[in-house]
This record gives sequence, structure tokens and C-alpha cells, in this order.
Amino acid sequence: MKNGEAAKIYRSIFRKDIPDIVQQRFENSSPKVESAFTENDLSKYRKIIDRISDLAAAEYTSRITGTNQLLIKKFQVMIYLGECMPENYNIFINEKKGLVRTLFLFTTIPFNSVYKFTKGFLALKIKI
Amino acid sequence: MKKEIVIIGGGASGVSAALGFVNRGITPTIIDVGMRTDRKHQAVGNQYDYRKENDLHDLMIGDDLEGLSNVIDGSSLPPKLTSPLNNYIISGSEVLSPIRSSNFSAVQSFATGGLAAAWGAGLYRYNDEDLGNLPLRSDSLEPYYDFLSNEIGISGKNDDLSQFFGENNTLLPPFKLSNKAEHLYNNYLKRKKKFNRNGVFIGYPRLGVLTRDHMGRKKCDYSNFETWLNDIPWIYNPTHSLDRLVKEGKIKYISGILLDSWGRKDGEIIIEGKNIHDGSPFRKNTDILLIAAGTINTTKLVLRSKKDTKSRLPILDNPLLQVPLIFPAFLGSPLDRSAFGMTNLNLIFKSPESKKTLQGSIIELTSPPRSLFFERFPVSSVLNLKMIKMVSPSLLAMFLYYPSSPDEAGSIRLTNSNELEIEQKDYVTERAPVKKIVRALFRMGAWTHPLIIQQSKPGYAIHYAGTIPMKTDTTSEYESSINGELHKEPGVYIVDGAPFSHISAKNLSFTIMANAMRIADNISKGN
Repeated sequence: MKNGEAAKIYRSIFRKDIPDIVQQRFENSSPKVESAFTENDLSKYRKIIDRISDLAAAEYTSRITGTNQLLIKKFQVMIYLGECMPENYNIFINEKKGLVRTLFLFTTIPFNSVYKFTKGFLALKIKI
Repeated sequence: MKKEIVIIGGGASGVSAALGFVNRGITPTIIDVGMRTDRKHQAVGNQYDYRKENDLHDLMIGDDLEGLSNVIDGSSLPPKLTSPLNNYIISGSEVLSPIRSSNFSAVQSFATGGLAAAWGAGLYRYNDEDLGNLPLRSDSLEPYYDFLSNEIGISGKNDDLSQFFGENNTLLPPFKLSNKAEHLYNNYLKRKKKFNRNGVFIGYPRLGVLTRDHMGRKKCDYSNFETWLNDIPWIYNPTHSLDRLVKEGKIKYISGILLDSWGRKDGEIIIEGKNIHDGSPFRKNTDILLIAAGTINTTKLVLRSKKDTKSRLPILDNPLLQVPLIFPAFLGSPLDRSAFGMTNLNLIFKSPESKKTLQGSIIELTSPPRSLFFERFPVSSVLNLKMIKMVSPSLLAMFLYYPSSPDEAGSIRLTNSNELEIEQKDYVTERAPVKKIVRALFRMGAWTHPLIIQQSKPGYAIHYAGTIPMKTDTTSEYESSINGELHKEPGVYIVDGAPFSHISAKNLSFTIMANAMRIADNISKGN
């Protein structure tokens, strides 16, 4: 299993190992993405990456509370990079009818959201 | 006519003016920065099949991460302008003509074809009501609308919107609606009398999109990815006409030149600028000068020529609401891979209680990257991905445009450092019609809510106009006559959006084009 910033974020979103090419592209994008942030922001971001295992929860909490903008941007960049890959086609594009799956998805939203927010909130509070 | 004629700008208005001269056997010279790209996506067939097998990085993001500018820089540009294949259309503008503004999203193009190289191709005839207080009547534009309709190939249908768009026989057949657009339209047709009583009318747009082969260009094949690709043959781009006229030797075309100002010597107009490649000065004499550099850049040329850093001129753009439309009947449905991924339907709101007529462009969202929807849902990233997959196929968006008049104008001025400064307060849009439109759309199967409707930043519509108003009797140096001639500047004509001091909710582009051609025709006839 790959490790490091890109690999952790990719796994949080796509639940699989990051392809080498995506890792390279993500790393190449970092200077540009990070350029608008302060040293403090970067330091906090690195702590989040190093210390929190459920990055998706941390990102969700950050998005809801309007904090840790760098983490949010990194997730957004990774989504775009991930979408470029043909092996992720079925993650983004639906080609079959799936009303039941969609309705089930809606029922999971409240539980998942409360769980992820709480988990992210506690992780950010305790570990950062 | 043996006079030398120069047109500045190779965009929609410059090319239309050139067509006006060419029709009279006159050979004008177009001077243009004329940026182009040699990059073109070659894969044919449905692009969703292509993406199943191929890495999209070059199409979607690009080596300079231009496709990520919305994420990295917070850019509010439409995804079509930031896609790697289309980014050349706006590239360089921040260097060639910098603009300072805190609250106005100003977009300029120095590409061949101008911003029309990536437009939505909505081409609407203005009627007298649309022209408002302008000293211009629609019948004087009709012959030029007709000519340009044939040049461009405009698809559409004489339907409920003909009362607003005009009944005409030059339209190509309408294109195939996407599944959701068809669903909405059918529901509208079932109860249209009731909708009409409430001021809501729906019909086919008038688009410069070919539904049959025309002027050597291929018809739309519904292969999708309109957001990502450039120079799509079935979407008209003024470059199509420009290249043909050059090839046929009917116009002269000088590219690579950024013009800065004009002056006069011995009765002749002298235009000055520089070569953008080597910085060398450029100078040319002419008898007649038509400025078609796009409203913002035209304004800069005029202010530079008059060395005026004090005056603040008005600038207009259509206020715009972005309305997401969710179709519950399409939740969990497959993505409509063969839809035309741009405007599918138009909505007009016109009611006696509302002062303004509004126009909505109902847009299919199959073309932009799916990542654009990420975080639009207030759920975790993993659920966001699932929502993108299962919910985004049930979405359309409506861009709801409001008219704009001088009392809502922002201001534009030239600074001492040769930058433009644009100021514009946030628009205040009348919301009562929105409630009626939302209710009507709900009855047509599309759900939305005022809380999720976003007001766009001023300038986002990219329908700039009104800096050099058209007047019957000009009194100020920043007014133009009904024939486009700048006040006390014989032989200098403004032929783009700048003279339009009132813009209706309908896209102004086609009217700018027809007016440019009308002015060129009048000059040719010696009027």
C-alpha cells in the first residue's frame, strides 16, 4: 500500500491505491496549489495528513466549518485528477438505471454526515 | 469606393463588418492580435466512449493546470474558457490589456474569433422592445439578420418563443433535445395555456449549431464534450467566415498586432500599435476605421486615443442568476451521453406585473467535467462521488438573464498606468418573477428552490456593452451616431457592443453582428 500525502488523499476518496501518474501530477500541482497559503496553513495541513487516518472525515468537517482550506483544495484537485483516469470512469459516470441505489444513498446521508462530521471534528480537535 | 478601410478585431463584429464590405465588392483589412492554437482533439465518435479508454489529463486539466483554475485561483470563468484546448482564447489578456476590478468579472479575448470562439452560440434577433431607447429599429437590422443567418446556419423552430424571437424561415431544423429537456418541454406543452397566463413561455433556442451540413461544415453528431473541445465544426465561430474570406482573397488579414490608439495627419487616420511577437511598432494609415475590438478593449482604444484618464464611462452586462434544476424522475438514471451539452431550451418570462422581460437558457450538464459537481452536495467526499454519479444525470441548469439599462451601469476608466479599472455594484435583481418561474418549472417536473439559486458576480454573463452609447444627435466625445460614427471623429466607427446603451435579456451577440454589418453596408453605400 502506497503512503504519503497524495496516496492518502486518493485512498480517502477512491478507496484504492493511487496510480503513479496521478501521484506525479498531484505532486506537480502542489507548488501552485500551496502558493496562496501561509506557512501556518501548510504546517497545519501537514499535521492533518500525518496524524489523521480518516482524511475524508477531516475534509468534510473542514468544509462544513469553513476551516482548513488547503485540505479542501487538495481534495478538489485530486477529484479532477482522478476523473481523468479511464479506470475511474464508472465512479463518475452512471450507465445503468439505479433508482433504488439512489434512494438508498439518500437514506444513508444523514447517518453518514453526522458520523463523518463528529469523527472529523474530534480528530481535528484532539490530534491537531 | 477606393478608400482604405481598416477593421480592428477579428471577432464576431469585425467579421460581420467585413462581410458587409465584401458584399459590396470592397476589400477591407482586418487587423487583429489573432491568437490561435494548433492543438486539436482528433478522436471522433461519442466522447464518453473515448474517455472509457483514454487519460483525459490533456483535455481536462493541461500541463499548466489551466483546467484547475477554478480550484487553484478561485476563478469564476466558465469551464469552457479554462479547458486546455480553449484557454488560448483568453490567454495573454492579463498582459496585453490588464484590468483592475474588485467586483467585475471582466473577460477579454485576443484570439481569432474573439470570445465567440467559445460562445454558447445563442443568436437572437432583437425586436423594437428589445432595442428599447436605442435610436435603432429592428427593421433596419432585418436584412443583415437574414444574411448572417444564412452565413452561420441557425437552428431553431417557430414555436411559442417566435413572438419574442421573431418568426422566420431561415432556421435550420431544431436539434434533438436531451432526455430531461424533452421531459420538461413535453410537460410544458401539456399545460402551456396556464403557464403562458403566468408569463412563462418555453421553446427551442436559436443557436448557431448546425443540424444539417452547411457551408462546408458538418452537422452536430451529439458526440458531446462541447465544454472541452475547440473549433467544433457544427458550432459557428467567426473564424469559419474569416478564414474563408481570407482564402477567397476577399479581405486582407494582418495578425499579431495589438493596436493602441489612432491619431490624424493630413486628413488621414493613423493607427498605431505594436507587434506582439517582437515588440516592434506598427503604424498604418487609413481613410476609414471600424473598431470592433470587443466592448472593453474598444473602450480602451478610444480612451487611449483621447489620452483620457479622467472620464468614467458606463459599462453594462446582463445580471444573471444561476438556477440548478433537479429532475426527480431522472434520479439514478444513466447519464445522457448523446445529448447536446449546451443550451437545449429557452424560457421567457413576460408578465404585465413585471417591468422586465427575462430570458432563461436551460443548459444540459452532460458536457462539463463531473468534478465540477464535487462538493456541491453538503456530504462527505465519498458520498459526493456517489451523488455525482447517481444525481448529476438528473440535473440541468438555467442561466436566467435580466436586461440591463444605463441606471444599472458600472463604470470603466483608463488609469495612468494604462490599465482599465472597472467598478460595478452588485446587481439587485427583481425576485418576484423568480418565484413564479420556480413554481412553473416545478409543474414541468424540475425542482429548484430560491435558496439554491446563485446570483453571479457582475460581468459573469460576458455580455459587455454600453460604453459609447449610440445617440441620434451626439453631443459628447464618447457617443456614437446611429451609423456608428464616433462624435467629432469623422471616419471612425464603433461597431461592437460598445454603442448598445441598453441590453435586453436576450443575448446581444447577433444584434451586434447585424449592426456591424449594417454600418459597413451604409459606409459602402456612402451614407
